[in-house]
This record gives sequence, structure tokens and C-alpha cells, in this order.
Amino acid sequence: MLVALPSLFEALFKYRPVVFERGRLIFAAARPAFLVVMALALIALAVVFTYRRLGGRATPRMRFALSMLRALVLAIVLVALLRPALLVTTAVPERNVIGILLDDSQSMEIKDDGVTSRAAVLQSLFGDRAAPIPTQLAERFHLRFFRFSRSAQRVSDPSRLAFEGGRSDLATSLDDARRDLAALPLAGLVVVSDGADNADSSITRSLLAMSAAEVPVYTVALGAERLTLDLELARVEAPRAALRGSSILIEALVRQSGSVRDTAELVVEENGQRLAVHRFALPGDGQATTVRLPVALAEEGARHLLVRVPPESGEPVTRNNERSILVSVMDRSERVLYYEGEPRFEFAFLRRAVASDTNLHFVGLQRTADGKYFRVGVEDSLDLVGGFPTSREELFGYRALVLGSVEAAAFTAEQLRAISDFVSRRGGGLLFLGGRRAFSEGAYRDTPLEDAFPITLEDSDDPEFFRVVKVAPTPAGMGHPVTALHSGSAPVAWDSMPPLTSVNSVGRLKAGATSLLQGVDTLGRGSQPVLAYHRFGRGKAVALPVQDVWRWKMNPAQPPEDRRFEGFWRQLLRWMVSEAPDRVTMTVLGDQVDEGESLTLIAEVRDEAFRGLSNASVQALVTTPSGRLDELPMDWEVGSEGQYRVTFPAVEVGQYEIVALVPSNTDTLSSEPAFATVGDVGREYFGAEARPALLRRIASETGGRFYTAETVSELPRDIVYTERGITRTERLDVWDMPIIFLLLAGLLTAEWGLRRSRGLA
Amino acid sequence: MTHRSRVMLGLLVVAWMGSGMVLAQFPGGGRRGGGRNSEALPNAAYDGRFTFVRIRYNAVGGRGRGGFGDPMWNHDYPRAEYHFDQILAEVSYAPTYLEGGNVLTLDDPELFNYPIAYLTEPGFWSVNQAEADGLRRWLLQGGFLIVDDFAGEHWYNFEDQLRIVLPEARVVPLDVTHPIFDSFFRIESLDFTHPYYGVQSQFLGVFEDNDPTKRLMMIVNYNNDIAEYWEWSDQSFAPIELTNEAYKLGVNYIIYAMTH
Repeated sequence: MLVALPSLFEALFKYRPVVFERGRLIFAAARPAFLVVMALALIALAVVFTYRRLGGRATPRMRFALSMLRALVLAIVLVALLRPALLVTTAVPERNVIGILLDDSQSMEIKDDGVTSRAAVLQSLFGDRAAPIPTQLAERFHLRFFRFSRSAQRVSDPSRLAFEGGRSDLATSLDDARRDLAALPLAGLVVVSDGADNADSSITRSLLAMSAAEVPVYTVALGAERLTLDLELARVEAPRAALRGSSILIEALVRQSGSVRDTAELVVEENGQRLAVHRFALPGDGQATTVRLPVALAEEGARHLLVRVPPESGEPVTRNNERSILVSVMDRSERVLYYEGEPRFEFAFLRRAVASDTNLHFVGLQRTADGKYFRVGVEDSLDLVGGFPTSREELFGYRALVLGSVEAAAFTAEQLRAISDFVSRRGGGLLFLGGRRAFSEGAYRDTPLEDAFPITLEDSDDPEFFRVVKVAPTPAGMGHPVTALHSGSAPVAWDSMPPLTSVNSVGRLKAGATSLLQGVDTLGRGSQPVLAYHRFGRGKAVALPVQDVWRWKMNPAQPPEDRRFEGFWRQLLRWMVSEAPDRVTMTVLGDQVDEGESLTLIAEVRDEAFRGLSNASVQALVTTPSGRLDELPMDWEVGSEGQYRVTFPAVEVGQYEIVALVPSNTDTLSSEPAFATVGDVGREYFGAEARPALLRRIASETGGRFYTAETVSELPRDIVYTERGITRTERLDVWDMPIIFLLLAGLLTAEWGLRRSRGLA
Repeated sequence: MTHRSRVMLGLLVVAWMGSGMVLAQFPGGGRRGGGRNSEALPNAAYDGRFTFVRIRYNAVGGRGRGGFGDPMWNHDYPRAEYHFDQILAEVSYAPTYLEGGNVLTLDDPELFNYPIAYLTEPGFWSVNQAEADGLRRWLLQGGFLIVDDFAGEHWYNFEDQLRIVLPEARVVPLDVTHPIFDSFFRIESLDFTHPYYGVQSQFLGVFEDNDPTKRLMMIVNYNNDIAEYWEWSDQSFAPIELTNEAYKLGVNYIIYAMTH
């Protein structure tokens, strides 16, 4: 039906739609304007006179209708007598060039209907110079063929496409073709593609350049906008680094096209060995859902994890069912300072819970009386001897800080500011525990630390506030590594955990904060957050406004060997230190790229107080997959305090290991190694649905036209009407369009019929 | 002095006290009897503060040294804990319940709200299986038991009952270098004697997995009775230096349990 419309249009209007789009209307008859006005007046008078004669033989409504029909007939005749015509520019035959860009990327191999691939359709339309469309184009233009994926390259034989490109970059490819043909009389470009662009390049910038050069781009969209049967792992997010033995949280966005099934499994594997699996409910057709899965990582080093949703039989695209992620697992001991303001059991039980964790160095400072401290885990006899650290350098040596039941007045204003900066600038983790001297009860309102709390501090009108709360995870806490309690390998219900108590009348969650555990008052007086956190600057601040988490250990209903309590604390502290940066860090932007693509390295360098150092000499020490060592000087990024960058081509396939080195007067600081993998990352199979909207936009913004495989046969005749290249202007008469004669005949017939029906004829 | 000879000495002292030469000055049969409420006062509800918890048990044979009807678990109750609470709250920041303490049996799940408990007169202590199971689980999950007020041959009963609770446990002597004697006050010497019998006190302990590098689950004041000093600290029963030392030990025990 749609295919027939242009033909019908052409039959009625004599020319193709593109002629009317591109043409300028003129009237060829050179008649003075007053003659036209006079003619119109005479027509009107004649019509009025004619129908006044009808007198009382017709109703006023009938007279009006007849007069209008007659007037229309006369007007059309008049317009036709003015000889309207369209002025259009057309390409001069044999003098212009057309560039034809053929998509050579992997996504073209997708068989949307399960039978014919996009590549096969492309080949049938443009893969052979003797095919109808190239033949028709060649009758009027010189053709230049390009294949494109990451960039465009000229090809002499369009049939020799491999469809192996690992990336689709339309912007770069259009720029390449335009530049390549800049010296030729280019009438336009033709892009044949599925539009599944997955590059970072700006298409807007490319289109602006194309419009400035007035090169029309004609686009041909292949493929289906929605795969009929597909599960896609649209996104996978996981921390890049973790402590050995930690559970990391893997968040996967799973999208379903077509209702394949109700549930599916998310599997995490390493070297073919299954590390974790989670069955989840699939979303409806075209919908996506986020699946969270904690995975324990026991071994040190760069860990290549494969996250996948096993494909359904018959899925046309299975490469998008899996993604690999790279996690650097470090075996080192992170220092955590717990400052407790009074003797209480939380200190002893927490200390015990993490005592056997060699990756957490627990430093405890318990104020047992006024000016009297119990210290544990200190490295020097003078460490913390005077109480809480007074210098930022000392405080920032820790990665996480736990504040127990200690009032704000126990700190100086500078110490409170330093604690706030510990999170916001140093990027450390801060945990506020509940207690009689904590939160509002510890008078933290209107202090420099108030903003760091993830929940609001509100004055309680009940000085004896005491709640017994039954704790349960929130939806966000269900799959979180801290709150996904594990006993052995099986998840254990939170139901069996004893209730905790709170003496802190806490407020509500601040904007942007997330609650992982919620406590419901056992006497039915509402609920309160039990574990909540938010990002605060570079770090995160966590609130645990209960006073006796140790009751999860002293549980008469559980065997002594139950490790849920220990697991909770270990995971919580590990999670808190996990993102606390070193003074020197190295990050690889996009740590999985195809061979030949570039790797961009970002190093951050800070002093002992974690102020950015922008005058350092920073080098990236790159160990290539073959074992070669390259030292690359890194440049300071103007405007980014303490940030350095370098980009280099990844020419070897395999794993790169990169370390930032910062020589100083005394020694050389180095970062933890960052890793990158170079190889086929299968990017083309993600978001691989055809995207005609992008191709439509390219055509629209450059003055070209958009086609599909069904309508592309119109292209050779449309592309003639171009203003680019060597052109000439043609005048095309439109007074003799069949539609005009049909209109006249129709109007006259209608008038005659009306008159006859009223006995006037 | 061997363990056996200490026990013999203890028996002699008991025989001496039993001779009546001293008993006349202590109402209640040879010991000051003010703190012997045979019925426990109502327990306070758990509120997160340190609450002194005394273990109630059935004395061996249904009677104790005080004669028929002396339940033994209540020696020094409730004055000892009442006085101790005031001192603990005074010298430290430990949030403390100040109105005495709670009395619980070893098979009471409520015991798990209180990781420190006090057991007196273990020479007359008897446990049934439910109590033994309860205490074992409580200890292994993090409980800390203070055993006090026994001497001489009472050791044998304590050892027997402990074997029911923790068959594998070894009771080992502690010296003054152990952290429990430096957790709040620095205890310079362990040269204590029993307030009545004059025998040399011994400080013994039971460690988790019988490993002295691990958590101390139980402190055993053998040939000692520190609660006696607490009970009568307001009546000049003992020289103030001795009473102070008894308080220091008690405070150290509590702070140790809250830090280790």
C-alpha cells in the first residue's frame, strides 16, 4: 500500500513528490496583475448574476452551493491559464558523483526475521553494480562505493564486504566520505545501514558540517526496530576494584523483546566456572529490569567475569546475552578506625566480627572515661594516645571511620570539619552508629558534620525515646552485598534475626539517600531507617541508628557457628572502604576495547591531605599483553585539580596492566594496577535493533531523503533533483496535471448533479 | 603451693570458721548475711544499658551452706550489684542501670540480652541440661561469665558443673600481664586473699577454643569473693584499699568484656 502511494501521487500530479519538495512555483503566463483581478471580479459577477436568475426556484442554501461550485471551476480554469510551473535544479547527467556508504559492521549479520540477514538485503540492493538501483544511479552519476564501520574506506567492489566491523560510527564515516569526495562534484551521499550506531562521536557535529557543505544524505534503513525474540544484557555495572574475599554487587539491566518467557537466570562465571546465579522475573515485551547479584571474589588479581543470561533457543542474537567485566581484586589491609564514646558491647562484638579478616585492619579507640581511652590495633604506642586524630593527615590515613555513641562536643570544630572532609574530599567511608550520644541525641545538629548524615537530624520531644525494631531489608537492600545475608551458600531469611533497639529519634532519608534496612517498631509505632547511606562528595556516609547490632550474634535461636553477624560487619566495612581512593589512582576509561581502538588513562594525584597535586610529574607504566613495558608521560588536565590524562592506541590483543608512577623527592608513589582488555568485545550486538530514527534525522537535517528496503527503488529518480554538484535548472509545467482536469470534471459534475436533483437543469 | 595443698588449706579455713570463733560476729551463719534476698526483685526490661545480671540456680541438693532454704545464688544480692553499679557509672562512661540488677536462669533466652553475667557460690552450683545448653550457647556466642565467691573444695563442684556445660574447657591460671587486669585500671598485683578464709586468691580463665590468644569467656575468682567487698563497702567491712581493689577488678572485668 505504502509502496503504491508514490506511483498514485505521480499519476495524479504528473511528477514525483520530491519535485514538489524541491521545486519553486512560478506562473509562466505574463499577464498584468490588474487583468487577473478584473477576471476574478468578472467571474464573481457572472456567478452572482447567473444564480440571481434562479430567483425563487431555489433555496438560498442551494444558491450558495451552486455559486461556490461554479466559482471554484472558474478559479481553477483561471489558475491553469496562468500556466503554473515548477523550477527545479537537477544534476547534469554524467557530470556528478554519488558516494554510497555500505554498513560493514557485525550487526548487519543479524537476521531480524530469522531467515534473511540485513547484510543479505544490503547485498541484494547494492552489492552488485549490475543490480537495478546501482545501474539506474550509474546512468546519471559516477558512483563511489565505501564500506564503513568505525570509519569509511573506499572500495571498488561493493560485493566484497566482510561485515566484521566491531563498531558503527556514522558520524566519523560520513565525515570520511565527505572529505574523500570533497574535490569532486558531489551530488549527495547514500548511506545504507541499520543505523545501530554505537560510537561516542557526535552525530550532531557531523551533520552540521554536512549541512554547511550542503551535501544531501540519502539514507536507507535496513532491519527491524524490534527484535522478535531476544534477551539482551543491556548494561552491567560492577565495582572496578574490590578487596579479596569481598562480595561485589553486580547490577545487570536485562531487556526482553517478544515475550520469550516469564523468568530467566542471571549467571556469573569465571573460566567456565559458575560463581553465582540468580533467577529473576523477566519484564514484559520491550521492557527492561535491573537484576542485582552479589558475587564473592576470593582470589587476588584481575578477574574476568562473564555475566550472562542463558539464551532461549531460537534467539536470533545470542551475543548480547553476555558481557564480560573486569574486576581488580586486591589483597591488602585497609585501615578502619572505630571511635566509640562509651564502653558498650558494640565495640567488642564488632572488633571480634572482623578480627579474622586480614583485609581489614581494625583500629579501635574507646573512650572509657573522661580523657581515658582504650586503644586497640594501633601500630605505634603513641597512636591515638590523646584520643581522636587532630590532624587531617593522620585521619586521612584511614579508609573508613566508624563513629559510635560519641557526642559532637567530644570533637573540636576543626575535627568535625576534618571528619566531613574525610568523606567529601578524601573519599572515605563514614558510619554513624546509634547510641545515647549519637545523632540528634549527640547534638550533631548545626555542626559542620550535619550535612554528612544520610538522614535528617530532628529534635525528639521524648527524652526517653526507646524503640524495639524488627529489621528487614528494603527492596534496594535485597540484593545488596551488605544486606544480602548469607549463611554458607544459602540466603537466610531476615525473619530469624532478633530485633534491635534504637534510642535515636531519627528523621527521614535525605534526598538521594538509599535505605537498605528498615526497622518496624514491634509496638506498631511506625518504622525507621536502620541502614541508610548517601554519596557525600567523593565518599559515602552511612547511618546505622541502632545501639545493639551485637544482638544479631547473641541469638538464642541460632547455633554459635552462625556467621551472619560477622558477614554483615565484614561486608559493611569492606563496602565502605571499597571506593576510598589511594593518593594516586589510575583509571582506564572504557576498559574493554576492540583491537586498534584507543585506551584513555586518567590518573589522579593527591597530597597527604588529599588536595589535588597539579604540578606533579606523572607517568603511566603500561605492561602490554606481550610483556613489553611502556612509560607514557601523562599531561595535567587543565581545570581538573590533580588529574592527568594520556591516550594511546591498543595494538595488542589481550590484557594491559597500567600503573601510575609519581616520583617525588623522597620516594615514588604508585597506584594500584588498573587493567584493560583489548579484543572483540561484541559491541555491535548490543542495542543492535535497527534505528531508522537516526537515519531519518540524518536525511532530514541534510536535505536528503529517507528510504527503507521497500521504498529504496525510488531513490535513483529522487536523487536527480539535487542542488549539489553540477546542476541545471528545469521548468516543469504543472497546469496540465491530471489532478486539475479531474477536479474540473468533478466540480462540474457535482454542479450538474445538484441542479438536476432540484429540477434546475 | 600445689593446687591440692591450697584446697586443703581452704578446708582448714572453712573448718576454722565453722568452729564458731568468727561466726558470732556475722549474722547469717559465719558470713555477713545482709545480702540474702531469697526472692529476686523484679527484673528491669532491657534498654541497651549495662545491667548487672546474676545467675540463679538450684543449689546442689536443694540446700547450701546457709542451711535448708539458702539458695546460694543470692549471696550479696542485691547490695553488691547496687553498689557496684554506682561505682561503675561513677568512674567510667559505661551507660549503666543503677537500680541493682537482673536475676536470670541459664536457660532463660532473656540472658542473651546481657553479654556479661555473674555467678556466685559455684561450689553449690548445679545445672540441668537445659541450663547447660543455654550457658554453652551464650558463652560461645559472646557471653562473658564472672565466677566468684568460692574456695577450697568447692572447686570440685564447679569443675563438675563446668564439665557439663563445656566438656572440652580447660580452666587456666591468669597472671597479672593478662589484658583483663589492664583494661581500665592497671592492677599491679594479684596478691589477693579471700575475705574470710585468708587463702591466696587465684584468677583463672576459660578461653574460646582453649586458646589463650582468643577471647576470654570466663573469669574465675577462686579463693576470692569480690562481691563481698562490694556489698559491705558502705559499712567499712574491709579496709578501703581492699574494697577498692575489689571494685577495680569488677570494673576491669566489665570494661574488658566490652572491649575484647
